Amino acid sequence: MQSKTMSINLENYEAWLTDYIDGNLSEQEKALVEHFLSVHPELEIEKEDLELDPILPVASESFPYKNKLKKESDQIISSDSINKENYDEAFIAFHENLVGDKKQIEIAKFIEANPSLRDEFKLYGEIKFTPDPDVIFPNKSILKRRVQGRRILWLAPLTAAAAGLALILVFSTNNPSDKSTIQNSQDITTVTPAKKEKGKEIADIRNDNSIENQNSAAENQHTEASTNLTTAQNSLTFSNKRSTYNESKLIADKDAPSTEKAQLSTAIVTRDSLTISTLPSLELAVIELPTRQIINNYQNPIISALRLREKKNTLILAQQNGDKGRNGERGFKVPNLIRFAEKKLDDITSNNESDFRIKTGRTKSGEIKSFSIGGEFLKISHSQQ
Amino acid sequence: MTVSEYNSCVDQHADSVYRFIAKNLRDNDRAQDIVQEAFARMWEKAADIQAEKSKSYLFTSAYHIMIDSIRKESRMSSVEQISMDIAVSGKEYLGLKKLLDEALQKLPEIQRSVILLRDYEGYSYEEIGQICELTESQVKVYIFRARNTLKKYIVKPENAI
Repeated sequence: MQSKTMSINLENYEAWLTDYIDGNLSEQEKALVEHFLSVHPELEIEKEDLELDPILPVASESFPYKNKLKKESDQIISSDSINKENYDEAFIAFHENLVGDKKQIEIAKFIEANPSLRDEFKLYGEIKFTPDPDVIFPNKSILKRRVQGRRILWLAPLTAAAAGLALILVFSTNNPSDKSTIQNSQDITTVTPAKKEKGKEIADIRNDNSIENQNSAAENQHTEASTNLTTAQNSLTFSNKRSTYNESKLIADKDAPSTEKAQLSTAIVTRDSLTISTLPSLELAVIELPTRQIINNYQNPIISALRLREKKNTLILAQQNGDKGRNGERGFKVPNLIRFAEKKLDDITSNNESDFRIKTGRTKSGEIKSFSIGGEFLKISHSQQ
Repeated sequence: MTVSEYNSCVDQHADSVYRFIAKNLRDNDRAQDIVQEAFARMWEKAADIQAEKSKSYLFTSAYHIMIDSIRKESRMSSVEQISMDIAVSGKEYLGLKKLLDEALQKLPEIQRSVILLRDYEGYSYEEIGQICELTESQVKVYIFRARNTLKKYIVKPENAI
């Protein structure tokens, strides 16, 4: 017999009809069936069709295991809003913490009324994925940055060399004798402690029209007096047949006194304007040592010469590869480097980038600017015309 | 985002995003490449990214790189397509965890991703939607479908636990 809790509908009416024919319905239930048929004439079932004599006597011949043949889902008892069609969704929502207190109570009652679904409810709670803590990204250091725009990836094998990397670029005047005179050694010494802290070696790269015939004694004197860091061994010269100069204002050092800012200037090698004009928008400051092999060839980590080159949108101060320019000069264009570094420093300090520091010293021959990038040290010196 | 904040992001989230990608792809080498690329992209935009948004940015980048990678290899399954047809004859009981892992790989890519973002990282539907470029409703539907599919897979007679 149909449960009284169930109503007759198009999905179950055939079972009701069977019970009707078998005589298993009460008068009230029969009335329900007859009413159902009256509102569903499309079924084309007349009351007379239901009044056939049952084939078997009702009481004694009914199949004793009828309930066992019924599907389990047919036995699901619905609650206010949960039924056999949507209980999965309700269970998932419960474990997703998407249901309120009222809904939780309803789900609990639904499970209580349908204990066969209890395991299914529990199973949904176990369908969770937990990360395996043993799975870790190998070698996170390759992802990290020490300087804006620079990958540790390429720097990693150069760690030892980079530890000794430092640069001094002295932009001399036409008069070599001017270079060796210190005008304000006190300012210069502000650079020295930072260098010592970093344990860097400083290369003194002369950019001078005296080329390799430059007075080495004057160089050394200047180096010792100004920074006391440069050794004769590390003093490197390269040719840059400079002919004419233009005065160009530098972007002022934020740490420099205002009076000094006005004095900051650098000489631009007009012959290098082609290089300058080809510089892309200055994006990132990168110091790159191409290969350890090259460093080894130089027998020390000091940059022997520099040149600017473009790599993607990144300007790189790269180790000079020994090639000579068409005019016989070697190395990078010092003014370019200065302009580049100054602009970058200004950008960086404007962004309150704590990894960057800048200090300024003065010599008679001009300014010495030094700045550290992510713990490495780079000095750029230049002189006034 | 400063350099230190970026590096802190590496320390905090490199493993989790790697697990997410590796679990999706079941290919550790590819996952490493994708994570590296995601961090590289984040670095390029570091100036525009707030530190507190870095994790979300990272997962979003990694997810899209992964999807692009999958599509390039023409391995992207249809969003609605699912194949539960696997050889089960003679299969021994695997245990729930292994069974779940197996079932996870049968899910469509989008369902797998939203499930892992939800379970691994505890992201809200809104956050998952931002990462996967879906609406909250879509995320909910995918998560519900995925869990229902996983349940059905687990209770299949040949997989019965």
